[in-house]
Amino acid sequence: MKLGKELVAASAEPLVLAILRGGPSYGYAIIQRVRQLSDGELEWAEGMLYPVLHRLEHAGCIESYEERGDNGRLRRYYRLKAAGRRVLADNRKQWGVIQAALEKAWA
Amino acid sequence: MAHDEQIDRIESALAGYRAELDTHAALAEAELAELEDHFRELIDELRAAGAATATAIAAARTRLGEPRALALECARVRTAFGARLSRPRAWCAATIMLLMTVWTLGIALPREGLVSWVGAEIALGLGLLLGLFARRAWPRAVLFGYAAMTALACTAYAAIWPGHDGILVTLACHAATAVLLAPWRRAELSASGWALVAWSVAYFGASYAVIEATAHHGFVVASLGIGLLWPVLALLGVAVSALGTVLRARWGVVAGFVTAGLLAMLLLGLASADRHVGVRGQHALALAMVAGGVLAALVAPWLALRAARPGFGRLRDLVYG
Repeated sequence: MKLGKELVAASAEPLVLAILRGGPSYGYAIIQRVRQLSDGELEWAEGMLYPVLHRLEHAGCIESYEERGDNGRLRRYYRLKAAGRRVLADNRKQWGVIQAALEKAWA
Repeated sequence: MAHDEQIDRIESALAGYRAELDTHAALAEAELAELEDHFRELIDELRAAGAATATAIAAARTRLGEPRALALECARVRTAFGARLSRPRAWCAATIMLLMTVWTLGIALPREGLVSWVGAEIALGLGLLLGLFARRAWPRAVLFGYAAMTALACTAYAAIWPGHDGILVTLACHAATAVLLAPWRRAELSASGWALVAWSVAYFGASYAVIEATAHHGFVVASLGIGLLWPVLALLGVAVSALGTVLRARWGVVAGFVTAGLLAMLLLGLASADRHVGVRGQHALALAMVAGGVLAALVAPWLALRAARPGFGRLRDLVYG
């Protein structure tokens, strides 16, 4: 299914925050998780995840740190901060409102 | 294809992709390494699924995204010098500095003339402000250092010469600018960004060495016999080293250490000079500023070292950094 660009863009930050709620992760692994969660329907231009991560870091929602990955190379990981948890909770409410309204409209 | 050939091909593709990203935007070393790591993982995933090396590389490149679009998108949020400042903060700070510059123009230019050191500093300042209005990261770093040091100097002047409204207005404006330009969160400024802040501090130190040299009517370092030329060279050394930091060039690091040595020499000379002219406390302030400049000039090249590359550097980083 081809999803609209605006919809994919709008869902990017909430998805990333929700994935990081499950624990620290890094770029490639976050993309894999997105693919898993959407059963392959959400295909991001993978590099475009990084501006999203940097914006979230700049906004204070997440923080990054470096650690040796499985391949022995230094890798940048991201983890959710307290402010990010608050934004995530807010995202859930907002998307819940939209979902409820759409379901009523489509019923 | 032999295993070694495959590895070489992959490493070559990774290096090529990274070089392409670097051509299109001034990204930090850490950003480039992160994207390279992702590219590598994609290639490994596709090869593990049975794709030939060449096919895996091409498919991974498609999935990661074309280097130009990706580099420009990443640079919109963060460059090699740090995060891009939000428009409200950048424009607010730039407007305050512009008003201060116009005020300085009105006072200093009729006295000094356009073709003067003051004229050159004002021209440089206007260039930096243009960069700040355009939300460029490296002018932000330089102007943050400048505003913070000016506020600090004005605080000292207010103590030495109390009751001067002009000094208090200057202090308030530069303090407000420094707060707006300061990194409010970690990683807002990269190591290269902090190096530029340090060069701003060093510039103040060198400027005070020049002022003291002029005030002492031919300042002489007791043991070294140095005149006005050396403080001016130190000032130029700071400017050249800062340029090298913006261009992320190794020669900038070398120039930085040489400048630090020059400033240290000047500090020794100032400390040993026993002719005190001007208001009480002025010589102590100059000593403190030059000492701060020496420390900053020692720290700046270390901070710039990691991002420094061989060659002259890319002039486009001056515009897009």
